[in-house]
Parts: sequence; structure tokens; C-alpha cells
Amino acid sequence: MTRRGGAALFAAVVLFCLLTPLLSPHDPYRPDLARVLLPPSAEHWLGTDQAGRDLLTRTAAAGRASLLFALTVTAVTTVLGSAAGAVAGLARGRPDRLLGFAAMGALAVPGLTLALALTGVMGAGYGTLLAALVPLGWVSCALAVRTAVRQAAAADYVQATRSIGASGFYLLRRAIAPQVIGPALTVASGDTGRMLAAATSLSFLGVGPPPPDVDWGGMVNEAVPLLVAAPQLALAPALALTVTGLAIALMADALRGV
Amino acid sequence: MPARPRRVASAVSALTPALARTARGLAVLLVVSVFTFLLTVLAPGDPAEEILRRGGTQPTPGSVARLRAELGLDAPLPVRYLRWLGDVLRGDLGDSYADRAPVAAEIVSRVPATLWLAALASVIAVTLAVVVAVRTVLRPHALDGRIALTLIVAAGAVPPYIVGVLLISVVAVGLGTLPTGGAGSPVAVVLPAFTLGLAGAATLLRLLRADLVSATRQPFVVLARAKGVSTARVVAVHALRAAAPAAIATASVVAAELLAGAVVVETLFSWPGLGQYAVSAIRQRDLPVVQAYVLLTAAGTALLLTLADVCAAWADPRIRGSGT
Amino acid sequence: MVMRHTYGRREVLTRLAAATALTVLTASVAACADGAGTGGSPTARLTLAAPRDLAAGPRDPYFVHQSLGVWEPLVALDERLRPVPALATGWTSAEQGRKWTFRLREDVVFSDGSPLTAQAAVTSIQRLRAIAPRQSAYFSLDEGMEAAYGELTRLDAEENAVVFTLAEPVADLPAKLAGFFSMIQAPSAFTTGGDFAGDPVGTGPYTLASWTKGQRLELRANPRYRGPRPAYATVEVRTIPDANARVAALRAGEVDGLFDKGALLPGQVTAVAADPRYRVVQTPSALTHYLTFNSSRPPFSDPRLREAADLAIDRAGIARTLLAGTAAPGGAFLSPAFGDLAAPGITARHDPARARELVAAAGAPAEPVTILISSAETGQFPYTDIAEVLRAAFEDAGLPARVEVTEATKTAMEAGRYDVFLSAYSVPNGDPDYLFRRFLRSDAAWNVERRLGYRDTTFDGLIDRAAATGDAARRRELYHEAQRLLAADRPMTPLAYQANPVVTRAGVRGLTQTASYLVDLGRLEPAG
Repeated sequence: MTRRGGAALFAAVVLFCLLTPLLSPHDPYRPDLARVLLPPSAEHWLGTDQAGRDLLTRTAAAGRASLLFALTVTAVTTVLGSAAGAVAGLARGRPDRLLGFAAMGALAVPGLTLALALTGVMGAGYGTLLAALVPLGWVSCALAVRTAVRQAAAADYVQATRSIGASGFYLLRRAIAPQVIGPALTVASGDTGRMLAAATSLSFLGVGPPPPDVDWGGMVNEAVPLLVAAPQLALAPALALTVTGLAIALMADALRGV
Repeated sequence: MPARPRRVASAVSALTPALARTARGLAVLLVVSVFTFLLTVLAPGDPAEEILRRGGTQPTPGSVARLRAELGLDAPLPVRYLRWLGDVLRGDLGDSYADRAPVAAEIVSRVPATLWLAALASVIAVTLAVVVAVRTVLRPHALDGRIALTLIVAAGAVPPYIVGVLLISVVAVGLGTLPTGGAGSPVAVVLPAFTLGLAGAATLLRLLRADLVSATRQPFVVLARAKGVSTARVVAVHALRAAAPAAIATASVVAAELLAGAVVVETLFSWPGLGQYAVSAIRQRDLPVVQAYVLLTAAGTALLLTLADVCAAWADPRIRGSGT
Repeated sequence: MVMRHTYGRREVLTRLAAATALTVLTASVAACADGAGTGGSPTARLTLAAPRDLAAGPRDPYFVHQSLGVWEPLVALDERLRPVPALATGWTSAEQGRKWTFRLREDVVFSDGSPLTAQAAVTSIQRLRAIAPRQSAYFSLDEGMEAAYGELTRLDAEENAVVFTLAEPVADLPAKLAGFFSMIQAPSAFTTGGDFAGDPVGTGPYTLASWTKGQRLELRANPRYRGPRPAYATVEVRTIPDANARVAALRAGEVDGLFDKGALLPGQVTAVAADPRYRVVQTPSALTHYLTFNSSRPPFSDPRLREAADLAIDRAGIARTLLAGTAAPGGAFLSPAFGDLAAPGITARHDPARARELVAAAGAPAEPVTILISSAETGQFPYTDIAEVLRAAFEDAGLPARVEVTEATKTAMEAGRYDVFLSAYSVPNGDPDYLFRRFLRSDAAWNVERRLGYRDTTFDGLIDRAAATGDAARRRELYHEAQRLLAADRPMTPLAYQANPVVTRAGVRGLTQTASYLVDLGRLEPAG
């Protein structure tokens, strides 16, 4: 039930973001100064924004950018984090200390500030955003996987299996992995939400995808000066973000089987 | 409960790891310092020219050259790094490029604001998370718990910058009950702390709930229940304690995120803390301030993480190592 | 046994509905949330907010911004950037502009009780020269202060007059040193090193009572001020850098007004101005949005393509919509804030058809042209949107284009990696020579280092002659001619002249603003 609820909502968001720009007659990126801030109408369902772009189409296109980016970053961080966490949890010793060192370094450096500073060095763009968010994201997964691996390895049945001479690989595959996949996926699903929030926060602070691309945070940033005059401009991307975040949270809960 | 002898023993055996952890923390800081220095130094653009261009005016090349020399920007990189590190170790974080005021003094004057904000936000986050988690795990079908859960999860799905903008519009401007920002009145901290705390609460709550549920399935909890310990006590004491290590690890991550989130929230609410200082410094390319901020935040977080490590080891006998 | 909890479909819907309701509710309240701000501050006290710190501290050359009315300059600028008397009652020049004498007012006392003497004024100005180059939060001081004085050989105190002796003739010294560059504070305010010993000691209607860096400052009426006592005995100025928080503070009734550069963003003005509870004042400023062309490489090394790009732009549309009427479409190089120095009759046409013809004739470039904007400016003005509008206009004219946002615009420009750069510039004083000489003269650092590729000896000659001509009418003619030249050649073309909207509650009267964003706090008073 739960799984379907979150997943269905998420699927709906994805479909909205992918299909709207294809089906809409409007170009989400092309400004038209003759049509700025139009109220909702049959032609523009949500009206137009401050530069005369169709708000509905632009929200969907921004969602496409936001989601694609959040998923990409999460995929990278989950793979990196799981690998690092599993090695450290199993091998302990030096790899574990190395992970601890790297994790502390990554956590210690303030992520958003680093990202803001990085844009000064690398210029705004997807590469910069990736470079800024991956170091921020892999740690939580690595730590969760390491803890899970350790706890699993310490569990009685694993000790028992080890005592009857099972190999490390066998242990990993049969006894430990099932205990670890849950936490890893949980963290990954949560991370998708976190990365969505982090990336759009950067856009909100003015460091987003290169134009003409825009994400939801960038749309909110553009709309904030018009908050009183045209609240729908901020409302549309904010609502889209909320629904997406909720869908991701529900899916995360479902994955854990809570 | 034969608690005391074990604790003394583990305190002694924990001393060596504690030293090792301190050494590791220092090593991390050294790496971070090099990294921070390079990051700000390799940033393109000439700080001297940018300083002189404030107010939108265009400086002469002669002025730029003289200021470069005055700021020591002409020296080779390793020399500049060592100079900077030496000053930092003596407690001198340099002077701001923007107003030539000592950075250390400014940071010292801003630390209390950020700590106060973060502390209040943590209290809000932890209270909400623990109360709702225990309540919903204890009584999964109680209406109040489910409503609270729904609200927190929903609110947690909205990034802090949106929550903040909405709170300013509704609570501060609309209802006029709380200040829109700044630190002029004692209640001004409420909205930013709530914004920050809400984001942390959702993350904490979700993880705590998951851990609590899985903990209630652990054999020793089942055993405790079989021994006749009440459900409430099982969840509140045994399961919570079993769930604690992961939660503490999470809490340290959440705390680090709180610091990052504070950057956005402080900017949004004009809260005179470190985050706001850092953001405006980055925008003005005030390199000494950026360097000091990153380094100090790193030091603070490293300390926090080390403490979390120690706490986690204490809370879970299985990780404590001396055997159960 | 195991407490498995599942969400039903109904619960999902409940959550969704709750989130939706929350968001819709908050937004609708945001839209009509006007009720609470009743204001009603006591007449003796006024609370304002500004986007930046107007007190920069004892290590800044000025300590506080001129707008606070703590100190006064020898010469001020009016709303058309013309020099007008402040602490100087008038001035005369001799030796073809090599010698300038500024007569001082005689009734002036510093807030510490000491009188304003010629020697005190000379000490204050000498200090500015001695500490240069020195960065400031407001106007940095150049080496030798040449932007302010030209090459100064002597500075003398005569009986109630300050005499500047210059190496070369300077046409309009009062305009050059107007404002910050002729700040006068009491000699007791400074240490020997040129920093401030304590609080600023000026002659204006207010004194600085207290300040907390980055947060707030408080002004108190100066009992020794020679003019009428200000209506507000105490003025608090809060620093609120975030634009949304600033307007929220105004609407919540926490502050009585917003002033200083960028007080209201263009997008915010419409809603505030339409509200009868507020009084918005929008005066022209010297700030101008310029397009700088990279004429040192194709395609814009071809003047026909610069013209095509220029004709493709709908300046009036941009000023009306994206800048929400806070700006006027650009024409002459100098903004109308320069009064009659701005060349009359130069208007930039919007002619997309002609632009297409020009591109067709010159040949469209294969590579898209790069429109460069600075991420430092996108928060202040809707530059991303403007750049997108430029991109669409260029593409309609047959010029493929792309937008690049970067923080390091200097690096990008010096490497020649741009074709058009959009940025706003202002002047530190009332002298247009600064703009021509620093940006466009053939040897100007901007021109050479940023690869503008503009070399014109006629233009150089015109501005050199203007800078040395004492005859105001002749000078004006020379500047008009230089601007006509620029309008034809287009190395840098004004996109829009930006006004600076400021606002107070309707209960506050007397808000005025000069072209350099100065508000006279001493003239604010309760209405009715």
C-alpha cells in the first residue's frame, strides 16, 4: 500500500515533468515581453511569469532539471558511499580509519558554503554542482552501511556462521548484505530528497544550473521579489517541490517497510 | 546490573582511542586548511582589484598593484599559506578585505548567535522527533501521533528556504506576532530556529522511527518483553537505547546539516550569525573571512563528530567491544 | 507482535491535502497580508532599514556613509549630479583651472565642539590622500586620489578657504571631489595612522550614537548642528541584506522606511507603490546598465553586427517589464542624471527587421555569441531574465546566442571569452570624465585589459580637451560630440538608466533622494 502511495505520487510528478514540456505549445525558456505576468487562462493554465514564459511548462521543465540532477547525484553518492562503507565495515583496521578520516573531512567542511565558494573557482554549472554535492552526500550512506555491516557482523548468527568456517565473501553475500541493503536504500531514498533540497537551495542562493536551464529553487529565487504582486510564481515551484519531497519521503518509508 | 566495573574499564580502554581520535581530528583540520587555502586562493579574479572596485568604481592599475603588495598577494603560494597558518595558530585570522576589521573579533562576536540558533533548532528537532517517534511506535494507530507524523514529514519535504519565506509572510507580516528577522528582540530567534528545527526534525524522526521499529524486533527486546517488562518501558528504554548508536551517527550528520542549513536560514532572516557572515563574505570575495569560516566550522564539526563517536561507542555495548 | 505500520491510501491523501492546504493558505495570506502593520512610532524616533551596513567602522576611510548625515563634504551633488555648496559656500578657479579656492561656511561647529577652520578641512582632506589606496565599503580611494583631484601639488589653508593647486588644468574640480572625496571630519576624529580614534566627528544634523556591525546603528540629533533641529531626535537604521526580509519588515510595521542603494528591487516596487500606506520615491540615479561589446574578435569586431545586436534589443520593453518601470530605456552614453551633459537626441531604436538585414548582409556567425553576466549582480537586478531576453532577440535577428553566468567575469573577459557583457556602472562623484577615461579611452584599463578593442584618437582628443576646458558650455559641446561618436561606434552601449526607488510609510514626510542615493534624513518629519 505504502509503496504504491509514494511511488504513485512520485511517478505522477515524473510524468508531469517529462510530458508537460512535450505536450505544451509553449517554450519554457523563451521570454516574451508582450505577455508578462498574465493571469491564468485557457492558453496559460497557470498564467505567465515575469518574463512572459508559461508558468506551467516552466515549472515542469524546472522539475525535469531538478529531479534529473538529484537522482544523478544520489546514484553517484550511493555507489561511492556503499562501497566505502562496506569495505570499511568488513575490513576494519586501516580502511576503516581511512573512511573515518575522509568522512570527518567531508562532514567537517560546511557543504553549502563550500559549494558557494566552489562556484567562484569553477564557475556556475552542473559540473560545479556535482563537485559540490557529491562530497556532501556520500558520507551518510557510507556511515550507515558501515554501521549496518558492523552490527550485522557482530550479530550472533553471523558469528556462528563464521565459527563454522564460512568465507568472508559468503558472509558478505548471504549474511550481511541483506542487513545492509535496507539501510543503504533508506539512506539513498532520503538522500534523493536531501540532494533535491540542497541543489535547489544553491539555486535559491543564486548558484544554479546554467541558463536557460532553471530548477525549482531558481524559480523561487526569481519569484521572491514578486511575492506580493504575483505569489503564484513562487507557489508553483514550491508546491511542486513539496509534493516531490513528500513522495520521496513516503517512498523511503515504504522501502524500509515501516 | 553490573554496570560500574564495566564502565570504569571501558573508560580506561577508551583513553587511547580518544587520543587517536584527537590526532585524527587534527590531521583532518590540517588537510582542510590546505584545501580551504587553495580554494580561496585559486579562485579566479584579483581580490585587490575587486576590493578597490567597491561602489562600482574602476580603480587605476597603480592602485591595484599597491594594494596587492600591501595584502601580501604577490608572495609565492607556499609562503602565503605558511604565513596564514602561522597567523591562525596565533589566533590571528587576518583582517577582512571589506572593512579591514579583524576577522577573529567579528567571528567571536557572531558565534553566540549561531550557537543559540543551532541549539534552539536542535532542541526543537530532537523534541519533535523523539516524542513523535516514540508515540507512533508505541501506539501506531493513535490519531494525534499520526497527525503529528504527517505534518512533520510534510513540512520536512519543503526546503528551509521555502518554509522560511512562508513563515516570514504568514507569521511575521500576516499575523504580526513575531519579528521578520534580525536579532533586535529576544523572540526574533523563534522563526529561524523553527525553520531550521523543522528540517532536522523530519530527518531525525524518519530514522529514529525506523530504528525503533527494527529495535523492537531484536531478540533482547523480545526477551525483555517476554520477561514481562511493559511495552512502554521496552520501547522507551531498551529499544531506544538499542536504536541510539545509529541515531547518534545520524544526529551528528543532522547537526552538520544544521550548520549548513543555518547558512540559508540566517541569510533569509538576517540573523547575525556566522552563516550570514560567510554568505556575504563569499559574495564580496572577502577571502580571509571565507577561510576563517570554513576552518572554524570544520574544527567545530570535527569536535562534534569525535564526541558522537565516543557517545555511540558508549551507547551500544556491541560496538563498545568489551563483549556482552 | 512486530509493530508494522502501513500508510493507507487515505493517509497519503491526507498528507498531500495537508501539505497543499498549508502552502495555499500561506501563499494567500502572503498575498493579502496587510493587516497588522500599524506602525505608529513615536514622533521622536524613526526606524529605517538599508540593504548594507551604513556604518563601516573605524578602519574605513569614512566610518559612516554620507547618507546618515553625520559628516558633510565641502561640495555635494544635487539630483542632477551638479556640484552644489555644502561646507563650502562657493568656489573660484584661477590659472586655467590649476588653482581652485573653496570658501568655507563660517557658522560651522563639529559635534565635538571645535570650530570648522580651513586648517581642519585641509587636515581631513590630506588624510584621505595619505591613506590612499585604501579600500572602503563605499568608495575606495585610488592611489593619489586622481579620480578626485587630478594631480595635486599643494593643498593650503587660507583665511577661511581651502586652496587646491594642481599640476594640470582641471575643468571641474568641484564635481570631481563632490561627496565622499571631500568629506570633512574634525582632526580629533583621526589617529596619526589615518584610522578613526573613536566615533566619527562631523558637522551634520546627526551624530552616531551606537552601532553594531552588520545589524543596526543609532543616530542622535546633533545639538551643535547649525541648521534646524531634525524632527526625529533618534533614527535607528537596521541592516537587512535580504530583499524579501527588508520588504517584510516594512510591511510588518517593524521599520518606517527603506533607503540606500537597492532598497527595493525592481520587482518589489509595483506592489509597494500601489499600496496607499507607503510613499515610494523614485529618482534617477547615476547607475546605468551597460552592454560592453567585445570588438576585438568576430562577430562584434564587425560594426554592422554590433549595430544589428543593438537594434534587436527592445529597451523600452525591458525597462517596462523586467525592470518594472524603475529604469528608463538607454540612449546617450551618459544617463539623464548628468543633466545637460547627457547628449540630447540620441535614442536607441528597436528595429528587428533592420537587425535581420544587417546580420544577413554581414553574415551570421557559426558559433553562438556569449552573453556574459556576473553572478554577483543577478541578485540585485533580474540579469538572468534580461540576458535571456537578449538571447531571444539576438536569435530572432539571426545571431545565435548563449548566456553565461560567472562570478569571475574579469577572468573571462581578459581571456576574451565573451561577446557582450551586461553590467551596471555608476560614478563616484559628479564628473563624467571618470566614465570616459576609465572605461573607453584608448589606453583605459577597462578597454585594454577587457579586450573591448576600441581605439579612436578622435574620441581620446575630445575627452582630453573636455577635461581641461574651463568653459562649461564648450565642455558640454565636447561631451555631446564624444557621446555621438560612441552612439555610432557602440563599444559600450547603455541598456537602461536605473532609478533607485526608496520608500517610507505614508506617515513620514519629506523623503528626497539625490542621484547618488543620498537621502536627507534631517528633512524627514511626521506627516500631518
